[in-house]
Amino acid sequence: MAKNRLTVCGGVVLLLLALVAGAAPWLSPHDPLQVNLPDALLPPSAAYPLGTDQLGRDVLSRLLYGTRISLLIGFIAVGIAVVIGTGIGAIAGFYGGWVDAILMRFVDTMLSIPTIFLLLSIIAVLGPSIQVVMAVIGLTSWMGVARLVRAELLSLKEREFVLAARVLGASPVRLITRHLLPNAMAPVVVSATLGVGGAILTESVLSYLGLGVQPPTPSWGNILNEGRIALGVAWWLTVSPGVCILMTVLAFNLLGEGLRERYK
Amino acid sequence: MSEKVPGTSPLGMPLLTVENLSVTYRQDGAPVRAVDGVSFAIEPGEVLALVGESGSGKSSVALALARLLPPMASVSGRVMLSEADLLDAPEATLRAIRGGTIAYVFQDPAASLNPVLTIGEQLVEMLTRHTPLRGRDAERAAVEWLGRMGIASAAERLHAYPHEFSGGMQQRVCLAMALCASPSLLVADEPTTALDVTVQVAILRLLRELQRRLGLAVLLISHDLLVVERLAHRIGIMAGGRLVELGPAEQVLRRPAHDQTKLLLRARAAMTLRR
Repeated sequence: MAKNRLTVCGGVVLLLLALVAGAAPWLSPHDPLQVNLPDALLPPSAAYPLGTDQLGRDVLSRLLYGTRISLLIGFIAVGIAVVIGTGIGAIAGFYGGWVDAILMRFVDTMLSIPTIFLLLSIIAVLGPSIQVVMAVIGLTSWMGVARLVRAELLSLKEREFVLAARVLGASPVRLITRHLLPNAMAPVVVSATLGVGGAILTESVLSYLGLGVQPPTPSWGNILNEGRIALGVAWWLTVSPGVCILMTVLAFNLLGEGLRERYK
Repeated sequence: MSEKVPGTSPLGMPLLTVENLSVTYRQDGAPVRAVDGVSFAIEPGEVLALVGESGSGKSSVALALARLLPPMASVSGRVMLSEADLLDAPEATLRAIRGGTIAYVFQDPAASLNPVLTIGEQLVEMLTRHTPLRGRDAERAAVEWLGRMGIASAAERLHAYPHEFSGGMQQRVCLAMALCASPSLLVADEPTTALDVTVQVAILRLLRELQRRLGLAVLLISHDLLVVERLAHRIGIMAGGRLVELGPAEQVLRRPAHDQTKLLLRARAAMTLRR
C-alpha cells in the first residue's frame, strides 16, 4: 500500500511537471531571456519568487522554460534508446546463433566504454546543441533495453502461440512485430520510465559541463552551471534547479519501480 | 510394412505423400533418431490417425511435414504435396502453404493463442494472410467462422482476449483460425488432450462434422485410441519412431497385427473398464 502511494506520488509529480512545461508561457512572471542588469542577483522576493541571476533574469521563469527542455530531452532520448534497443534486442533474441553473438558482443563493447567519455567525445566532434544532446544520450543508453528485449524474446519464442503463428504462415517480421514484441513491452515500459530520469540527469551533467543545452536557452543543467560561479553569494541560483532535478528523477524512479512491481 | 501403403482408398491422387521420412535431433550428445523411415499417404477428404505412446515420434512427423522443426533437427525423405517436395521448397513457398494448404491445431489452445491480441485480431490476421478478404469483409468472415464453430454471439466475442474464453472455446477459436483459409489438410496434434472429457467429445463431434462438410483431409495425432476411433478412416500405429502398423480403422482396431497396437488396445480396454 505504501509502495502504491509512492508510485502515485511519482505519477502526480510528473503530471504536474508536464502541465508546468506546457503552460510555461502563462505561468512565467517574466521573459526567461530578458536581461535586466540593475536587478542582477536579487534574492527571492515578491517580484522574483526565486530570485534573479547575474544578468538579472528571473530564475523561476527560466526554470519553468527549462522544464520543457529537460522533459523533451528526457523523452526523446529515451524514445531513441527504446527504438534502437528494441530493434537490436528483437533481432538478437529472435534469430539467436551468430547474429545474437555478434549483436550482444556489440552491446558488451558499448557498455564497456564509460558513457561520459563517449558522450563528451561525440559532442566535441558534433558540437553541442539540443538535437545533438538528445541523439547522443539516446545512442549511448539503448543497451539495457536491448538486453531486456532479447531476454524476453528468448523465452517468448519458445511459447506455443509463436509456433502456432508460424504454423499458420506468419513471416519472421510479422512474428516479431505482432506476436513477440507486444508481449515483451511491459519490462521495456518500466525500463524506459527509469531511463527518462537517467536521461534528464545526463542532460544536466552535460549542460553543467557546458556541453549540453547552450545559453541563453535555459535548461536545469545550465542554470545550475551558471549559478555555480555565484554559489557563495546567491544560493537560490543552484538550489532551485538542483531541487527540480532531484524531484523529477525521484518521481521517475518511483513511478518506474512501482510499474516494475506491478508487472512482476 | 510400408512400401506400398495398404488400405489406399480408390480416390486417385493422394493429397499428401510422405516417403521414407526420418527426423534426427542433434544436440551436444549423440544424435537421437525420433522418426525412422516413415511412409504414408493421405487422400483428399480422408482422416488418417497416427497413434502412439509419447516419444514415439508422431508429433515430429506432424511438424516435419511443413518443415516446422527447430534447426537442430535434421529431416530426410520426401513430403510430396501435389508434385512439390516440401522438404526442398523455399521458405516463402512454405509460408504460403502453412495455414493456406496445411493448417495446424495443437494440444493446448491456451498456449496457441497470443495473449495480447484479441480473438478477432488473430482471426483477421489469418484471413488477411491467406484470403483476399480485407478490413470489414475479413471481420465479417471472422464472425461467420466463429459462429460456425458454435461460439454464441460471435460478433461481441470478436473483441475478447483469449483468457476470457474457456478451454473448449479457445480450441474452437483455434479451429476457426486453422480452417478459415480453407486448407485441404488439417494436422490436429492431440487436439483434445488438454480439454475436459465432456469438452473433448464436443470438439471431436465438431471436428467430424467440419471434416465431412468441408471434405477436409485430417492427419489426427493422438495417444488415445478412444479419440481416434470416432474419426479415423485409417489408423497408423507408431512405436519408437517407426510406423509399425497402418490400415483401415476397422481392421487395426479389430484385428491388430502388431504388439504395440495390441498394447494400446488393451490400455483402451482398461480405460473403458475404469469408467
